[in-house]
Amino acid sequence: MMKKRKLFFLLLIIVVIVIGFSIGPARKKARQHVNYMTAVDDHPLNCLSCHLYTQRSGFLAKMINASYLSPYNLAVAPNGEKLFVVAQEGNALLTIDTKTNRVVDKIAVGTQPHTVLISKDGTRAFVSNEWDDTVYIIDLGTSEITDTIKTGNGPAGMVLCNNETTLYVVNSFSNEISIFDLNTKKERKRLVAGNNPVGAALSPDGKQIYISSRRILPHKYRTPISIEITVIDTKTERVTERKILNDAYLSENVSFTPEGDLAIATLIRPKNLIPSIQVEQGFMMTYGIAVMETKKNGRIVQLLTDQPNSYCSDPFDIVITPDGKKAFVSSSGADIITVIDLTKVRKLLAESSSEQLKQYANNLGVSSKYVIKRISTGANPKGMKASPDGKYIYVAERLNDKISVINTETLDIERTIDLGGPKRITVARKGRRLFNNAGHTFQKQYACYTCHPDVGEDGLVYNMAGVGMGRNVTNTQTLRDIGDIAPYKWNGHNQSVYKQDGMRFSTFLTRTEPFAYDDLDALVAYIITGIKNPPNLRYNPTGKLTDAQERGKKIFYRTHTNDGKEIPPHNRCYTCHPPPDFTNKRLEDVGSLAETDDTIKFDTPQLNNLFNAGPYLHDGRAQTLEEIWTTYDHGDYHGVTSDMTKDQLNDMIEYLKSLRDAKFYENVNVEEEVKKYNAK
Amino acid sequence: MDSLKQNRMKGVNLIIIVLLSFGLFGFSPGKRDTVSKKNKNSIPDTGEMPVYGNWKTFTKKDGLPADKIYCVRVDGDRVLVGTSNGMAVYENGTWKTYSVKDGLAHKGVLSIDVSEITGDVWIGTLGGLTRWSSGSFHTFTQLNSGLPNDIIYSVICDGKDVWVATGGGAGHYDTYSDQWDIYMERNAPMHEPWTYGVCAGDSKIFIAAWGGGVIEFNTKTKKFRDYVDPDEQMELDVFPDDGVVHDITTGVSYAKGILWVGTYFGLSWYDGAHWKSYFDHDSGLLSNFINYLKADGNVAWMCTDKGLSSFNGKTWVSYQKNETGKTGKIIVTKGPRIAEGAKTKEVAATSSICHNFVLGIDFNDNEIWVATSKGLCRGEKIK
Amino acid sequence: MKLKKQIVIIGLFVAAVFVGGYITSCSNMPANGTIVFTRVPVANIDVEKAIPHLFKGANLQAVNRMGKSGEGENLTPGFYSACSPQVSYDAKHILFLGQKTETDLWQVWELNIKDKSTRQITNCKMSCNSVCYLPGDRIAFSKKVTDKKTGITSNALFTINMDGTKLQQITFHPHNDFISTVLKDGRILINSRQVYPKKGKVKYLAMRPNGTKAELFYADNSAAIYGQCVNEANKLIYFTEQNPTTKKTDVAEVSYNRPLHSKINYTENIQGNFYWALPLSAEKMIVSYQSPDSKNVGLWNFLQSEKKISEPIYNDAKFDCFEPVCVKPFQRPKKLPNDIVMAQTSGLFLCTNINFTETGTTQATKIEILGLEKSLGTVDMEKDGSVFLSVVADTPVRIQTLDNENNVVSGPSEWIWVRPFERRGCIGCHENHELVPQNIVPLAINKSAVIIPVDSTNSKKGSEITKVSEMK
Repeated sequence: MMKKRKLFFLLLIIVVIVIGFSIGPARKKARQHVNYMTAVDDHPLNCLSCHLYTQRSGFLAKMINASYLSPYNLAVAPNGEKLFVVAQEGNALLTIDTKTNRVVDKIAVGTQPHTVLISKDGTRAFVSNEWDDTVYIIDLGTSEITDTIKTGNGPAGMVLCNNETTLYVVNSFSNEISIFDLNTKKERKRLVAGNNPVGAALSPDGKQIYISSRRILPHKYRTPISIEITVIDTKTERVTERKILNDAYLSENVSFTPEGDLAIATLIRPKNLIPSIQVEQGFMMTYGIAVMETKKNGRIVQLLTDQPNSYCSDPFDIVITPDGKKAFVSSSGADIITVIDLTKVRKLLAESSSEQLKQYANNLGVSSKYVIKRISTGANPKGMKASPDGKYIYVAERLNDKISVINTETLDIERTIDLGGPKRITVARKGRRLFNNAGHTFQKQYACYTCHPDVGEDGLVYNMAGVGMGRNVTNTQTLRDIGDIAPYKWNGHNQSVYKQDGMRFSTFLTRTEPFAYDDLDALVAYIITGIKNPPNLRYNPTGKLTDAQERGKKIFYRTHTNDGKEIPPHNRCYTCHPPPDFTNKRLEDVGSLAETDDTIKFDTPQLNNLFNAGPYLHDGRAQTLEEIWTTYDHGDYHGVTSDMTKDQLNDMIEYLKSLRDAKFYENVNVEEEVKKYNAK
Repeated sequence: MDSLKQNRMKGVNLIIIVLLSFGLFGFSPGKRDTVSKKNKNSIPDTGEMPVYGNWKTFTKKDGLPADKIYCVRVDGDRVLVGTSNGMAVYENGTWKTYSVKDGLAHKGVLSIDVSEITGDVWIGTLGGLTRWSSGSFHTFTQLNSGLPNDIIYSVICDGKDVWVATGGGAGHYDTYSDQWDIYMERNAPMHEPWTYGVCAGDSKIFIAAWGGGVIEFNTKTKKFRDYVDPDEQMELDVFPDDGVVHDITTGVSYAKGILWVGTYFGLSWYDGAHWKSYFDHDSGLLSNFINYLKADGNVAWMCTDKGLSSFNGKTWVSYQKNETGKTGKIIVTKGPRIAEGAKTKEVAATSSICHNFVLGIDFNDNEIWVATSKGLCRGEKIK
Repeated sequence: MKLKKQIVIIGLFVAAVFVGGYITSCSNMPANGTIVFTRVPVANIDVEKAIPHLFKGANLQAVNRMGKSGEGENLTPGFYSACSPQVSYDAKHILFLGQKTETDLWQVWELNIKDKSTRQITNCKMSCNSVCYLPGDRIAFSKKVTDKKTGITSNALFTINMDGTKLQQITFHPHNDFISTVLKDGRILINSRQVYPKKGKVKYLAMRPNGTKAELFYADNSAAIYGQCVNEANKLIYFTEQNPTTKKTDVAEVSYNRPLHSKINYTENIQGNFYWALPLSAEKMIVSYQSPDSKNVGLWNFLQSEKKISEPIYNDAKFDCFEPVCVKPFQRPKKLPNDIVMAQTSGLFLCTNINFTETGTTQATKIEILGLEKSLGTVDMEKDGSVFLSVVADTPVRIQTLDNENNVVSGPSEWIWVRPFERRGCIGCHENHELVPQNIVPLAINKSAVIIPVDSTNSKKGSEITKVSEMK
């Protein structure tokens, strides 16, 4: 009876609201509200857009959202009869019978699994859990996890070598490669990799491992960028070479030809140093591969997969057929698999002068010499693997919960395997697809994902040229967990994500038709609801602070300098950076205004998970947290720090690095913290 | 952070003045005690002590970027040399120089160590710490990282950890966690933050702290203890073997359970229970002014302002260049101290170390490399 | 049972409504897939010289593709002449050029397909030429303009609201510009031919509908583009071209993705001339074709895969048939955002390296900006070859590179212009149009833009701006 009554009142409230907003002053108010939030005057008066689809918790959130599988990487059994798929969102390893095309097993693994390897005898699987800092060893006979190996931070790509007695794990967040003895399951050593390493490949002779990396290497401010391909000798277990890919970033994966003479990595060639004045003629982003001769002093040639009016955005994986004739590149932002004729690539390398080869890196037309087909796939193709006989390429369609199977002869998709994810596409899922797809930029040149990989930031500084050129250089900001920290944009001009991604977004960034309002609703829903930070396992895995972090926290909440002078309230750390988001959501002047900046004040950024968010400050001039105060704060504008000793600064930075998701600080009372940490 | 920058500048000035004074203008070698000159051409039995000769000198003419050599480190088939003008690498008979334009933190390279685990080369300079890993340079400075100070007198690798002795305290960098710890007078038993040397052994880190003797840090317990001069006398060692000879320590080295401590006032030795001290006037040590020392197995090598001394607790073998020409001498002192019956024999040598102001040393089985203020030299094991 | 019955009744009712609606709505409008074309009395036109196509005495004819040849319906009975039909994206209207009487100027009209009513959109003082719908509520068309200072006459493109308001010129160079089509990416494809200082070859330019970022899309030195006939389908651009030697006109295709290097000539082995191509599918198109033994141009089906003319759709010896369009809803091109600010009087232009050319690196040290009448000044390049200009908006300029002795190294370039507040870049002079810029900060943007026209003939560089990169 009570239930019925409750239901009745609920319906009554809904009816009143609907009628209220349909007529009269309430409608006018609603119109004003929607206009303010969206910064346009014709967005439909649809309360659900903001107040339902963006629910992050509770019954409604559960009702409107769904748990997808999101296949990310995969592996094929040595006999080709089974396919093993890492479900990134489903936190599972799926086993597929390649004859029946059905999922026959689902094994729960750690959080955000990244890569799966299968032993040569097909009895064991190794799954890296990127958000758990572990690798699971799974007995495929019993489907049980037999061992858990503790890795560095963010295990991603893996390689088995030395008769499968050694496991190499790429620690993507801590920029290392861990080497494990599989007999003892102990970590033997860690080697330094590039910045944000991810993919790993073993040379056919087993002597070398190549590791691709995503983020750029440290470099002088506003100078050309580069990334590293790390080369490891499996005998000495040492890095023997750090190959530099100039003008490139986001190299997700690398693969060897069967002959081992070439290693090919995917990459993006951004144009962040050029004012973003147009998209035409590849002025924003181009995409391609790096072809690396593995011999000593071998050449590195970058080739684009794009065409003059069409781009293959966000290349992710590369697979070379066992006969070495074709390479398949998954362009995850364009929903295509680009097929490259490697014989033609070799011919090009043989016939071209070094000057010509250099120019190819910026030539959109040259792809016609070696790209033989572009195969359309489902949403967001990511990891790929070839069947042992080379007849098929399996493609993980991440945002489609399907595996497409490409016939390597016909170069057509022969069949599609449904992994059994939810059939309905939620609003947030639609938004995620939009986010990852370049279809909403001019000529599909880049997706939101391109500059916000994994919905974070790409670590680049762009000159968006909103007014002039060379002015208002800005550092890409993360989109993770930003639901509660409006305003947005460094100048704080955007009061909502709606405005951020609305008309001006299309005028100055995507330079094509703005998102339809349905799409905009979906995109906003995704950004507001769907994006978590990875856990801060490196600096604060449990919430218990180290001694240094605790000392640093005391400095963060301090009210007096070392010599007892009171710090003006507006110049204390916690004033502008209060928990839980560590931002006061206001514009502040921290003395960072450059001659080329138009505005005086900048939006106070959140500090959650800032340990991996460099470079810092609005224009990315500070490559490390230390530089914010040692190099770019002249006169205690950015908090009072000039009295601090170096070890105190270190402690404060250790505390800042420890900051985790906002949810961990929701109950923090700032006044109590201040009192506690300033007690005599 | 202005105070940081000022400290940095002060430190840079100080070290430059000190090193220039020592190296260029020289600490005039004083007269040492008379030694026997019998049997000039035969080297007496030195027991297990190796003897080196057939010295070859390398200078700018040979391809080094400078003649002032601060340190040397043998890394397999190559030799890494820190100079006042960059790092030189000797490999396959040729020299290659790396400097600031290649990514080095500063051209003045004071200390080099190689990680046994990764093969990465850690380079301590007058302007920061550089990691050189398979051709890639990455620099840590006090401005861009948790490095305590940019003047790196000494750097060592201890497993995954890197330790530095700097003008602003001792620094510990955990390469796995990317965390820096600074140890100075506020959190360690030091008198001031200036540290000169650091070494590792048996789960302990030993820090040569200027004015603070030796600081021992137990990496398991995270506890400190210090070893200071018990007599607290700056000029005298009142009670022999009562502890480290002086609080101003310049280098530490640990091997086979023995801690060797160099000072500007003599040499100390500690076996975990007892201290022993050696001076130029009572032993085969060439000079009390020890710039650097390194222990290898049972033998310690002391780089002094008057030449190079080696000692295994029983016998001293020292190398000194004659004031003119390229010849020198090998001085063998059997017995640890004169008071304990030590006898010295001096043997003329047709080749010698290139300069008596010795700043660094490293060796492999058959070769010894010596860094001096006027050139680098390589000796061959002749006994 | 009761429920089932009700469902059946409701279903029948809904079906009846739909069927009734369909019958009444279609009874007097061309059915989906109807072909509309320009029918021209044979005697009235010399098609070889008819650029632009203002066909005197023509009318718009609707013909069912499956109908018999010669059977058609005149859609513009009240007009002395009508041509250039363009179907709206929802297939409810047809835009066309028309003149009610022989002495009227050609204006843009719109035909309501449902009731055949027409309405005049433009009221220009010069005849309008080519026309097209733009995504949104505007159309684009071309008309003759005369530069007041120089007296140079050319055809420029304009846009205008559907109600005839807010007329805006969008091309500003001394070219004869005609609209070919609107590409799916939202840009207008322009059939463009320089008229000053000398007559050039016809090229296709792609340009945003607000007149910004005009750039070469397609040109071919081995053949002449014929007329403004272009259609886009399946990322392929179809047009007709003329062999300069034999004067034979053919149907050709280029890929949207790589137009400069992907041409395929479909009809070079078929005798006769092709004047128009309307792609209907990957295999079929409709062509305006005149066989050697025919005196008129008819509408014919053409099989692409076989490169073969099949049956005629409309072929009447008394008429030539041009400009076929298919009455069928089609994907609306992207509606590109408008980033120009009409209150501004200039736009910015950045060249990242003036010495970067298609044939190699040159040794120029400065550029000269040429106006229609005179030089607008010279500007020294920066060390990296970059120049950064603030150019008076909507004014055609050409750029040539000079050495220290003011000898011309390269150029002059094609005519270019910037719209108010437009920011535009190029990577070199006469560069390969398939090259993208190198990712470096051009030195020129570290200074303010040099204002064009330069206030004196002295060489100029922008004034210094302190950059963060220099602060470090």
